Amino acid sequence: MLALIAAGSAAVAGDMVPLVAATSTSGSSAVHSERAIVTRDLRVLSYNINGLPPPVKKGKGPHFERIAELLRERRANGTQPHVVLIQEAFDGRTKVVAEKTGYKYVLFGPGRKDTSKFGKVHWAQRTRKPYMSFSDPQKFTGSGLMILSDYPIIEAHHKTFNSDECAGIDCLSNKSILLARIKVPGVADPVDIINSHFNSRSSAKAPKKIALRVHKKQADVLKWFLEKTSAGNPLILAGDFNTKQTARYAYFSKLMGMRDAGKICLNDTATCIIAAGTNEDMVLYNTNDKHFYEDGSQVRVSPIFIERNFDEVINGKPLSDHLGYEVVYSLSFQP
Amino acid sequence: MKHSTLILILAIVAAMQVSNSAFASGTRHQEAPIFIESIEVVDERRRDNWAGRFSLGLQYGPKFVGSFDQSLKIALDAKVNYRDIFFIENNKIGSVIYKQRLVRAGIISRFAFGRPNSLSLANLDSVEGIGDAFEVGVFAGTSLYKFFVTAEAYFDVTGVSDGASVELEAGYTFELNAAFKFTPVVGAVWGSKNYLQTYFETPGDRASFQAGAGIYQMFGEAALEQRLSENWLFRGTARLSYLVGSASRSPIVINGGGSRLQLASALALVKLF
Repeated sequence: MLALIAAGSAAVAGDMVPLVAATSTSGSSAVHSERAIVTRDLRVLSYNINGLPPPVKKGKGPHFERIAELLRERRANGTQPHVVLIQEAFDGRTKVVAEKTGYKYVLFGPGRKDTSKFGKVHWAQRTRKPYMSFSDPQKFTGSGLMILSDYPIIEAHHKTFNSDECAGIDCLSNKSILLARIKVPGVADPVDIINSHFNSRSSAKAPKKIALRVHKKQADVLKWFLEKTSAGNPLILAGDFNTKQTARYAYFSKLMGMRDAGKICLNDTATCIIAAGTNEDMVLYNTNDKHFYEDGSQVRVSPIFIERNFDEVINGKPLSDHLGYEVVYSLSFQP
Repeated sequence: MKHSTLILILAIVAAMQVSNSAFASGTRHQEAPIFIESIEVVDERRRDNWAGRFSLGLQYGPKFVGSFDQSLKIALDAKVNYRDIFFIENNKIGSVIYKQRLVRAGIISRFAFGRPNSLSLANLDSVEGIGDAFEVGVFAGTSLYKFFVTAEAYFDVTGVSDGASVELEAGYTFELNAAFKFTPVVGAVWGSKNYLQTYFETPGDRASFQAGAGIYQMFGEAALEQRLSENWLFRGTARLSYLVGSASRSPIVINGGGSRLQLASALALVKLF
C-alpha cells in the first residue's frame, strides 16, 4: 500500500496544480487570476518501541534490530517515512534505530541529567528536613524520545516536564516535549514536528486522580510550548499521548485545538486512504498513539494516508506493545 | 603508448569513477548521521533563592526523654533555607556541602535543650538538672522518588555530656489524593556512653546502673499533611517512641515518673514561602 502511495505521491510531488482564484471587487466586475498550488508529501511515523531499560525489559535487542531492519527495507524500496518519531527509547540498544537506518539527521530528546525543574508543589517532603530539598528531581532515564529525519533539522527545541508534572513511576524518566523544525525540500516554510510521551495511566502505578491531574498539567505545558515556539509553520504533533481515556482525550484535544489525523482521515475517505488492516478502533479509541496537525500561515496540511504498522511478531512476541502509526501528509502552498 | 591502450586505461578510470560515484550514492544514507542538539525552552517559573516555612500550633509530648509526664504547649516552628545550601530550622543551623542528584551531605549544629533542676521524679533520691548544650555534627540524606533516608550525627562541644548521638530515619510519602499526603517514618537514635550517662544516669543510683553506648530509642511516626492552598497547609504528626538498651533500664525511666513508651504529637498551621 505504501508503495502505491509512494508512486502516487512521486507523480504529485512538485506538480503545479492550476487553480483559478476569483477575487471580487466592488461593483459587478471581478478579476480572475490564475495561481498554482504546489504539493509535497511528507511521511511521518510515530512509534513507541517499548525500549524500557533492562532489567525491566530483557531480550529486546533483536526487536530493535528488526525495527531498524524494517526501516532499512523501506528505505531500499523508497517508501521509508521521511520523519520518524520514537518514544520509549530508554534502552541503549535502541540507538540502532537511530543510527543504522540511513536517517541523515538525528535528534535525541533530553537525557537523564538534562534540566528538569523543581515544581512548585513537589512530591518530595518540603516540610521535613531542611536539607532534603532537591532542586533537580532524580531521574533514572532520559526522555526516551528521538526524531529521525531525511530532511535537515534546522532548529530543535525541548522542554522537560517539571517534577510536579509527572505521577508515579513515570517520574523516574525525564519526560519531555521535543520539537524539530524541518526543512522539507520544495516547501515554502519549514515544518514543525513535535514528539512527546505523556504520563501513562495505569502503568504509572499512581492514583488515577493524580495521574489525570498531571496529564492535564502536561497538556497545559505542551500548549504553552506550542505558543512559545510558534513561527507560523505547519505543525505536526505526534507521539504517545496516553489519551485512550476519554477524559484525557477530551481535555487534550480541546486545549490543543488541532485536527486529529485519524479522525479527519476516517471522515473523508475520498481524499485520505486508510491502509488495509487499519481500522477506526486502531486510530481513535484503542490507542494512545496520535497524530495531530495544523496548517501554517502559508502551508496547508492534510492527511492523505494513515496506517498502523510494525505489527510483526518475533518468537511469538510483538516488536513492541504499540503499533507504529504512520501518516502521509500532503503539504500544499502557493509559491 | 598505443592509442588503444590509452583508451582502455581511460575507460577503466572512468568506470572506477562511475563505480565510486554509484557506491557513494548507494551508501550515502549509511554514513553516520548528523546529531542535532536541541535548545531548552525555559519557562517563567523561577525559584526564589529563599524558601521556608513558618508554623504555629500545639505540641503535646513528654517533658523530657524518659518522662511519663506530658505537657501541652504552643509550638512555633520556623525553617528557612537559601538556595538549598544554607538552612536554619528552629534550634538547628547547617549547610549543604556535598550535593549530588541522589545525596545531600553537610555540616549541622544545634542547641540541645537540657533538663531543668526543678524536675524530680518519684522514688528517686535526686535527678540532676542538665544544662543546654551546643552540638556540632554532620548529616547525610538521600531521596528517591517519595522515599527518603536521613542521618544526623552530633557531638557535644560545650562539655555538658562530651558525648555523641546519631539520629537515623526513613520514610515514604503516600499521596492519598491531590491535597493530602501521609508519610510514615521509622527511625532510631544511638547515643555514646558519655551521652547516655549524662541523660539517663542519676547520682544516687550510679552504683546499680551505668549506661552504655548503643541505640537507646526507636520510633515510628505518622505525618499528615493537608494542603489548603499553594502556600498553606495543615500538618499533624504523632510519634511513638520506645526506649531500648541501657536507656530502658535507667532509674529515670523505670521509676514512678518515667516511661519507656513516649508519645509526642503536634498539630500546626503551616505557611510555606
